[in-house]
Amino acid sequence: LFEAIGIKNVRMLPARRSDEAPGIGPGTHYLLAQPFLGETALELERRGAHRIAAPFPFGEEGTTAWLHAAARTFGISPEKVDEVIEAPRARAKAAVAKVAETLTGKSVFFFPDSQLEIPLARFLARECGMETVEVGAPYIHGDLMAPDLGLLPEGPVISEGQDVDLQLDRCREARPDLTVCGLGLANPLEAEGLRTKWAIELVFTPVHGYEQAADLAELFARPLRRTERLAV
Amino acid sequence: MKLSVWTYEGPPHVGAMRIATGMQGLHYVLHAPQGDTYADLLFTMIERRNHRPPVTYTTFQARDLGSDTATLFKEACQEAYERFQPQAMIVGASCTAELIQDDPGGLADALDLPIPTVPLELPSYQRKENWGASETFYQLVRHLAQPMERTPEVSCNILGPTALGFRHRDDVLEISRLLESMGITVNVVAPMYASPADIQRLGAAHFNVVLYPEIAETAARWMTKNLGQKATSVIPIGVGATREFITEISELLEQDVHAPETGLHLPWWSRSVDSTYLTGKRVFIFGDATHAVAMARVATEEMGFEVVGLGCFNREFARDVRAAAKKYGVDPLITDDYLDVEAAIEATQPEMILGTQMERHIGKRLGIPCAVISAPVHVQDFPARYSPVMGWEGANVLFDTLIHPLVMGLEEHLLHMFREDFEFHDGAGPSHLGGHAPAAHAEPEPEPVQHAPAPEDIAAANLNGEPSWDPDAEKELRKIPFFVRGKARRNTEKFAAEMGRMIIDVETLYDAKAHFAR
Repeated sequence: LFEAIGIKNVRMLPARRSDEAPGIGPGTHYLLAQPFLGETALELERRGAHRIAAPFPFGEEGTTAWLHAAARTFGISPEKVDEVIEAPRARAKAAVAKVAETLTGKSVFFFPDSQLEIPLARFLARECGMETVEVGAPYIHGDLMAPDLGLLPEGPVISEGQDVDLQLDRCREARPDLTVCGLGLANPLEAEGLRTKWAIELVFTPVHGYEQAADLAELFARPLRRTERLAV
Repeated sequence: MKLSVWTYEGPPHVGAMRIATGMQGLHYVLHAPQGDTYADLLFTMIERRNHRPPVTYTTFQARDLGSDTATLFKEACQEAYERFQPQAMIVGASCTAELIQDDPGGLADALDLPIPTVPLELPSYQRKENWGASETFYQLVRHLAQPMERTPEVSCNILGPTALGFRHRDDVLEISRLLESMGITVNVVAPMYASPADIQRLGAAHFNVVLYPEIAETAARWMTKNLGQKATSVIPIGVGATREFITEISELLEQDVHAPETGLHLPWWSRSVDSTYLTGKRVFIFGDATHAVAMARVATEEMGFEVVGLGCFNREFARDVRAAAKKYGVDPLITDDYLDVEAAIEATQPEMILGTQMERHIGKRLGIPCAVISAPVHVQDFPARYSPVMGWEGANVLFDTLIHPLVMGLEEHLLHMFREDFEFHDGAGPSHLGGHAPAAHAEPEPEPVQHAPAPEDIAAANLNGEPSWDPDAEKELRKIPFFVRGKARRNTEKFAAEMGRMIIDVETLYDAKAHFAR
């Protein structure tokens, strides 16, 4: 997509092989693809690279904003971007909408785990019609999170850091339809009749960009569909 | 009868052998040529039985055919009686001997032995093993069982287990324990473990539990009519069915009976978070009708799988499979030709197969994991440990059986993410299955093509109506993990055909993916 938009020299960090690592310096602009890269960002800045502020590329909206931000930096017109992303964007919207049928109107509660919580809450609230009860993150990097926080609808408790007993109290009180949490909490909460989503799976699964936006939604929908299916 | 390299069922006299071998104090005199004695190994090798089946073969040879094979049979019968001193005998002919029409039943009658002798008419060229077993058991019951006074306590017979059955040994124990927990005693288990004397006292039970309808339904129906015993119809495979089985017994006895669900783990195992990845796994199920239908229910309601194929090899029970297939919205596959089954599996590209020994081989060839859930099975599916498939423990065993061949939840993601890594490459298969994994058969690397498809290629694709893949799309397809790639390929081709696109490019692949999103 970057190439089609007109940004030619685009490299991935980290590269698949260490000998393909990109050179980084004052002429480099960088876009973060994951929110837990605060240290990396710091190191890049130290080498003179410039961060392009954008929401993270989760969901159709996040991906669109991410690409637009990059184009803006290089003086490419938004019309050009829109033209390039028209087809994949429409595909993502349609595919996410289908999965969102399971999610719309359901409530979700995030325990702090991977720092992906805020962008994901933004995706679930704005593209899947979910109600976010609480969004807990282990650490909130104000600068990196600002674009996503700005998009997150009013309402949910935003909590930083961990106090698991208090968070559990709030979660049990709210009885959300879906709780996103770490591996240690998932089964105990399931045993209490709460449906959960392993946060770690969101890190391991390819969920970025347009073509994988529905896969991302599917990760949240699957536990809910399983409950509907099972008769034991 | 059709000769084939592999068959799901043997001829009907093998069914009779399964009854005789399972029972005590019964002897089977089989008019059969030399060579038919091979059937012994089914029991002694595959089931690891440490005694020869109680079968006397007349073993006539080609040179006997001109002389008196009838005398040969009578002598064999008399000698078998003297040597084995059975409580009763069954007599019949194997497929080859049927052609010489010696009438084993009449000949045995003429010997006037002091024990009951039950003649078997097993038409080898129209019927098969399960039918032969069912007919043999029915004839034994009809000849030996008598109406009699019921036991003072509530009791039942357990009907259907035989030698060479799939998990019959452990199912009988599990269901006996279940019945005991309900306050019901077991009068007789038959045919396996029963002697002819036990068959005579079947009538003392208050009702019958039919575990394997393929073997016992005909006999149970006769008993309902002649001994006044009601029979169960629910097969207690899986949690839901076991609960229904208990309810059915309650209704049949017209009294409230309950069973504690002690030791049942499936519901929590299936609801625990690790099992989320099982949701919607596409399974193809094939076996005997009873096991196939029961497993379809377990797969959907208790594991959260999706049934994409359902079939059986025994036509006698095809109706049950047709009804179930309709419920799951799939075409029933009724065939005793494993090549038909292989073709159906290849066409549906399931993520797992639940089948017999034959489907296990098919799965190996196609690189699709398979769990064995029905006879016929090979030696490794007669486990040393306690492994029922019925009742509460049976449900636990099924959960384990059905997840073991699969790639584990988080491993699925690792395989995807690190697919270029040596440890997780396509051929690696599930890590816990080591080198013997049902590894995906290697797909050939797409030829590097520098130019766009030539017009004549497109024309050719149009001619046979099948869209062709452009190299970039092939490359993209290979990024999909092997255990779902077949499905992705099939879905994309279906989508392309529906949309009238003759060339599948990356856009088509993505369009199809969005189209099939749930």
